[in-house]
Amino acid sequence: MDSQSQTTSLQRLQNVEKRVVRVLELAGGVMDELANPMGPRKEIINNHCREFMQLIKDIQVTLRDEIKSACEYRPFEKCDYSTRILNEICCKKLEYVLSQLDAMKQTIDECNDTC
Amino acid sequence: ISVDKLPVKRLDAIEETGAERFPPDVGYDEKRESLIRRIDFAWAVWQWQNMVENLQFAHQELSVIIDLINTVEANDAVTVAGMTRPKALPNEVLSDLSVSAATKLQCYRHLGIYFKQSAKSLEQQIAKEARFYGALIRLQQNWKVKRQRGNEGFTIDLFDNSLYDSARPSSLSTIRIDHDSAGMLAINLPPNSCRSFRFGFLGEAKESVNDDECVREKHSLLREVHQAIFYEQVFDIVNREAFKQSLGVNVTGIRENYLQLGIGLGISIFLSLIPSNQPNPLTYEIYLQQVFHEYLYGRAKNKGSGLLGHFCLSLAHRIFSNKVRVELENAVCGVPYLHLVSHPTWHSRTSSWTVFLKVPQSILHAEKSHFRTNVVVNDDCIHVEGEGTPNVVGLFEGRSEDMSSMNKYDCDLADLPVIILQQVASQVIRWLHEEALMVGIKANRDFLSLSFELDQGETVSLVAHVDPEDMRGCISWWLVMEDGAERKLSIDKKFLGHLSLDVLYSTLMDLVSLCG
Repeated sequence: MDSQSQTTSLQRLQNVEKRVVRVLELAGGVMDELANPMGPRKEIINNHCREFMQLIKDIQVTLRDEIKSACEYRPFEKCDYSTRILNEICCKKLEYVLSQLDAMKQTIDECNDTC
Repeated sequence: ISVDKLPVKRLDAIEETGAERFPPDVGYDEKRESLIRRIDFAWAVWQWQNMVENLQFAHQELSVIIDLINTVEANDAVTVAGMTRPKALPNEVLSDLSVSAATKLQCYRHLGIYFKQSAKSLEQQIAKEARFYGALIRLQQNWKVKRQRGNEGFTIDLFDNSLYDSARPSSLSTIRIDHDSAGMLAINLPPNSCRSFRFGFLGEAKESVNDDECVREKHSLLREVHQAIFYEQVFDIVNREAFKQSLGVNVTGIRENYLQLGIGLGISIFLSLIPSNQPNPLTYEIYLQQVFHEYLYGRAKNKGSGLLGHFCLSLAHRIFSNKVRVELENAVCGVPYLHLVSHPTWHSRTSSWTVFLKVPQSILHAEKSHFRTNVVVNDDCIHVEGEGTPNVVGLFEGRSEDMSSMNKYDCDLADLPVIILQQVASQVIRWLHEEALMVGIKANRDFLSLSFELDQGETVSLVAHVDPEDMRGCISWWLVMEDGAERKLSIDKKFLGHLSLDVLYSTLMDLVSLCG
């Protein structure tokens, strides 16, 4: 199973979904094997079922962890909308200063050209 | 199958009269049919027949039994005691088993197909939702994403709870998150909802744009809406403030999303919610936003009522101080030994400059190498302080002592260039005076002139003349000779020109040698 430090919560949950798909595929495989007119091959059924059970266990563990950590999350604790607007204003200031500096540089270049 | 004989017409019969009777002609289909009839299907028909007969017998037996049961049930006196099932024959048991086994295998097969199809469609759905939720979670890092109860949709809330009470929530504050045709996250704004936008509205997602660009585009869009809400609030407050008694402001025009104000000094400004392509002047727009941001988010609660007045006064000051700066620059450009320095005041209604006069280092000592003239503008009042110029009052009273005090006074914009140049010229005179004293020559100093007495009672003076309009130089010099006895009759003036300080100094030394 992926270690918690390397993946985000969303990635872990998406892995759970992939495992569910795999579990369905295994169930289908077992059914196909049982439908074999020659009779089911035991090793294949065993392997499928073992993998199935392992995946179910992984899914359970992951979901339990994620639900626990989701409960700890309190939304909108620090709303940064006010500072966001301030940042937008600062961006505008920077753009303006840059345009002034560009104009200064252009003036200097023109002076150097004429010299 | 019988082999056909030669296709010769065979006689059917001959009559006594000798007439021949042939069999009638057989068509192609009829021929085929007769051939098919000749094939012996007896073995198959017999087997099929066997099963059909068995079923018919079974059917007959069942009918008898059902009739019997119905008759018995109709007759109240008699009831069925019991029915035993005949013991199944081995081949019947085997047939039953094989039928149920086959049915079970079929069920397994169907189940297998069902599971595999479910897995496939679930995989596709997961992939689609992964794009959507991946994008949503990236947006959630910066914006308040809320889930709607009931229809399981998502919205983004742009309303800020920490806003000062007087700000009203905008209709734009709640943004619905939709899916586009590919299942990816989309934000669709109703047309004409954001009046400060210029770009078009998002429709279907472009196939060539990758998810990363898509999320960035959404960020951009949310930033624009967020700002638009802020602009609305600022405009709203400005409108309300403008109609209160604000210092320095009066409303001269109103239109939809447009407000026109007079801020004194004949200056008019407008504030409109529909941006033009050239925000001009941009700095004032930015300052207005900053000032009202503090108001909106509660930090400037006490200043709230005079905020618009303060802003307009700051604006007026900036415009005025630009004019002052232009005058100072022109004056300083006209005199090579002057240097203009501007000082940051960190106050929106105060500006400050210093005009530096740099004099050459004295050979004997270097007590002072420059003189300063300070110019400070508060709102639209200009205040000038000149260093090292003689006190004007002291001159009138005949005091000869040199008081190196700061000369302070206020002036108009129109008088400013002359005032500054006069201050500078006076400082040059003072410097020359000190240099003359350095070599032991006594000289008389006036505001703009330095006089030396010659042997015959004649006076020779260096006189400064200032003219801000003079293209060749703003400060020029005259040499004036006066006859001591009859001043008015013999005054000789010679124009020296726009001298540099070095030339002035050597001129002074020449005069000194005359005296000595």
